[in-house]
Amino acid sequence: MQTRRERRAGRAAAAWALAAGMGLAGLLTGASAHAAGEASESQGSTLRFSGFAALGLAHNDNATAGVTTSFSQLRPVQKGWSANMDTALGLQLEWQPAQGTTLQVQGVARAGEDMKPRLRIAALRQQLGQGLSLNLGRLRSPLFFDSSVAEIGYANLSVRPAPAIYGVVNSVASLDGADLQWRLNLGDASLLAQVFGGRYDYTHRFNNFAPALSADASLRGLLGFSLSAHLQDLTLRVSRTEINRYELRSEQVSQINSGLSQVSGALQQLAMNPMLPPPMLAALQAKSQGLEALRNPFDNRPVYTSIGLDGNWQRWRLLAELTWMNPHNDLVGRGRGYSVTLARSIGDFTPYLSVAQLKRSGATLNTAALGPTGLDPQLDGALNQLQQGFDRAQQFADISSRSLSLGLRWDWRENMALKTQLDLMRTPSSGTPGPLAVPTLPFNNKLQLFSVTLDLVF
Amino acid sequence: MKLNLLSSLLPRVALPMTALLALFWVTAPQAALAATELIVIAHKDVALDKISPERVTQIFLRQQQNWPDGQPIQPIDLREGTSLRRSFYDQVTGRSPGQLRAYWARQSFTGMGLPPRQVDSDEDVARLVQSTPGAIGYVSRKPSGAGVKVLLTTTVD
Repeated sequence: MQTRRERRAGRAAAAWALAAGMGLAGLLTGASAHAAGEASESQGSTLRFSGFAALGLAHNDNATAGVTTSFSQLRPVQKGWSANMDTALGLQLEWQPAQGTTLQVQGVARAGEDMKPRLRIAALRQQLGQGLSLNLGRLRSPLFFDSSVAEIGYANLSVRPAPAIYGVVNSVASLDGADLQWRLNLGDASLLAQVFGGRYDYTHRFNNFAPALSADASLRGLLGFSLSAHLQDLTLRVSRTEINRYELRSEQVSQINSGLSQVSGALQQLAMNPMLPPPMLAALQAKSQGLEALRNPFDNRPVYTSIGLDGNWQRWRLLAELTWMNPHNDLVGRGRGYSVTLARSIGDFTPYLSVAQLKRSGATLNTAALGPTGLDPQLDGALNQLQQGFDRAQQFADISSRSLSLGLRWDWRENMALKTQLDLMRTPSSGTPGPLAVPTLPFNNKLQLFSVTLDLVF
Repeated sequence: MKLNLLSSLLPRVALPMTALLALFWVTAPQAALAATELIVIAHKDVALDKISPERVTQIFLRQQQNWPDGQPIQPIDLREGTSLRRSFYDQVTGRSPGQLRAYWARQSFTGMGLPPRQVDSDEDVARLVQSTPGAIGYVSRKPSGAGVKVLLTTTVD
C-alpha cells in the first residue's frame, strides 16, 4: 500500500514526465506548432492551442535563507541548485465559437508547487462594440504592471519580475470575477481602461517555520481599475486595487484566537471581583477588549497601487515601476517599492541591469493589552507567551528587501530565449527575513541567486 | 628621412585602405538595391486616405480595433519568417521579432487579445484586403484593381 508521501511523489513524477515531454515537444516543434496554430486560424478554424514553458535552474549561496517567487510557493530554493524558482509549464486553449466571442482556458504547473496543475484562466471574452469588451470567469491577476505575466518567462525581459516587490502579489495569481475593458484612441495614443472585480482563494505558505505552515487565504470584495496608455515607444500604466477582506485561516491562527479568548475570559472573570477598585476594573475590561482586537492578526484590507512604464529608445529599453501596498493592518505594515530595469539590445542579445526595493513602514501593532496584570502569575505567564508570539510575528511580517540584478537575454530562436541572471538580494538586517524563507533568526541577510532559464512559447 | 618613412609605410596602409574602399564600393550599391517599397493598403471602403506609421503600429498590435467610423479593423499580417514582415515590424513599428513575440505572449496568455490573422504571401494579403471590409495589410507592390486603397508608402531595407 502506497503511503501518502509515495503517492505524492508518484504524482509529482508523472507531472514532471508530462512537463518534460511537453517542454521537449515545445523545444523540438515550437516553431512548427506555432505555425500550425496560425495556419488553422487562417483557414477559418476557431480552435487555437498554445502554451509557454520555462526550464530554469537557480543556485542559492545562502544556507540560512530560501528564495521564493511568491507566498504560495510550496518549495523554496534552498542552498544549492534547484528548479523550483522559475520552472513552469502553461497550456492554453482558445475557442472562438462566433465573431467577437472567445472561450479561453489556461492551466499552469510550477516546479515550486510540485508541478500540480492550477487553473489560471477559464473565461469567456465578449466584444461588445465601440471598443468595449467583457471578460467573465477566472482571469489573470492585474494587480501590478507585470502581475499577469510574472510566470510567463518569455514575456518578461528578465528571468522574473523582482521578488522584492512582486513576491507579495504573485500569490494572487488569478481573480474569479469579471473585467470590463474599454479601448480608446486619442491622437497617436491608444488608451485601455480596465475595471475588474471578484474574489480569489489560495494556500498561503509561511515558509518562515520549520516545517513550513500553510493557511487558507481568501480574498473577498476585490475591486480595481487600471489605465494604460500605449504610444509608439512607450507604455504607461496606473492601477489601483482594493480588497475588502483578505483573510488567513489556519490551525495556528485558530490556536492564537483560542489563546486570546481564554486569556480574555480569565481577565473578565478577574474583573468580576467586587473588591477591585474601579480604575483596576476599567483597566482589566480595556485589556480584555484589547485582546479581542488582536484576533485573526493576519486579516487585512489591502490596497495595491502601481505606476509603471515600459519605454524603448533606439536599442535601449527602460522598465520602471512604483508600487504601494497599504494592508490597513498594523501587524503587516505599509509597503512602498520600486523597480527599474535598463537594457540595451545588441542583435539578439540584451544585457540588462535591474534594481528593486520594498520598504515597510507603519507597522505599529498595539500589544499593550498583552502586558502583565500583576494580579495572577499564571495569567501573566499566558500573556507573556502571547506577547512573545506577537513580537515574533511582527518580526517575520517585515518583508522589506532590496535587490540588484545583472542579466543577459539571448533570443536565440524566434520562440525561445535563453537567460542568465545574477541577483544580489539583501534584507535590512539579520533580524528581518524580508520575503525570504528564513526558519530561524538571526540569519545571513545577504544572498546571491544565480539563474539560467530557457523560456519558450509555442 | 620623413619622406622615406612615408613612402615605406604607404604600401602597407594603401592596401587595406583600397580594400576597405572596394568593400564600400561593393556594399553601397547592394544596400541601395536591397531597399524595397512597402505599401500599406486597406479595403476601398475604409474611411481614411492616409495613415501614419504610429497608427499602423497600433493597428497591427491590436491597440486600435476600430476605424474612425466605428467599423472593426481587420489587420492581415504576413507569416513569420518572411523578409517583408521582418522589415515592416523593424522599421515601421520599431520592434524586433523577439520583441513582437514577447508582446503577443503577453497579450494572448493574459486574455487581452490575439495577433492578427496571418497569410503566406503578398498576393494573399492583397486578395484578403480587397475582399474583407475593414481590412488593412502591407505588400511590396501595389496590387492592380480598384478594390484597395493605398494608405502609406515607405521604403524599407
